[in-house]
Amino acid sequence: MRDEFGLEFPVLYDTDHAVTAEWGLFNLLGDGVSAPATFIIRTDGTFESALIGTNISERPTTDSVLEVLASLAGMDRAMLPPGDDGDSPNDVDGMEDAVTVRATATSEAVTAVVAPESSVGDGSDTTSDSPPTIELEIIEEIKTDDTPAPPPSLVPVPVVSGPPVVGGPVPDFDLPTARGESISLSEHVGEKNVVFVFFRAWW
Amino acid sequence: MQNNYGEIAARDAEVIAVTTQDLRAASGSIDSVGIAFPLAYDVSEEVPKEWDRFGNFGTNLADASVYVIDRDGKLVWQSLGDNYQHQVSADTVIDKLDQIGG
Repeated sequence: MRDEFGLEFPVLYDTDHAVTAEWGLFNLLGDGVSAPATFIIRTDGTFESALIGTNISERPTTDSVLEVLASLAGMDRAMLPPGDDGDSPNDVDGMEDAVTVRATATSEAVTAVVAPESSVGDGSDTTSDSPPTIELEIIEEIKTDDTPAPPPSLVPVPVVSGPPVVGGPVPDFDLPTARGESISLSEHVGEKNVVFVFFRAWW
Repeated sequence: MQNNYGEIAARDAEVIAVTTQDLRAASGSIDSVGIAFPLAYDVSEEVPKEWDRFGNFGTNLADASVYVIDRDGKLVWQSLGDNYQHQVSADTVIDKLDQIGG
């Protein structure tokens, strides 16, 4: 696949869907493949963002990913190398010096895992015209048993919508209650298991 | 479900209910039936429609359904039923909570 599409970042195969299923992405859209998703993971292994497409072609632009990475590195977006045209998977080559990029490929969809590095030069670049350098860290091959834990909750991710499927995240809502307060699903998920009911008066 | 709320709460689980019926018009009815869990109103019907649980059985109401969502925000079990009178026993829900370590 790397040669076929000229990709410059590692592509890992997950043909048995073990990783995408563990991450709640496989068949999330009911189409038998992994939903397109881009995760930005901080160097401490926690998630900065989880961008999950609501259809097979919905993916974040390279610029939007670069903006998040620049923010994490404490830089302005303009200080990172530019992407190409915002559409090609190889747009990430513009930030290859700044981040580690890996992707897992199922039969059709591609899941990109983008990991920003923490070290922003040694401080000596701050007076230079050149962008700060960021040290590269090699991420070992992703295996099912050492993949970072999925996000603690996918409910707050606003792009999750549509009927949920067992094993996947659920759409959030924010509604008024009988006592004039408001309640959302996301405010409870994470603290407790939730029994969610569509209620009819005779229950 | 409301009669067994204590057993569910004892498993460190929260019950959240959504209805498309604006029972607020019958002020006091909520307290009179002793619903102990949060009951949210969605008179716009947007939430059950998004979840594909509205009017599937010829009624103009949300289809009675129960979901169990774990602490990771993952849907682990659902009972959707095939008619508008579908109900799930609290014992069934409690069993599911026990299975996921409620």
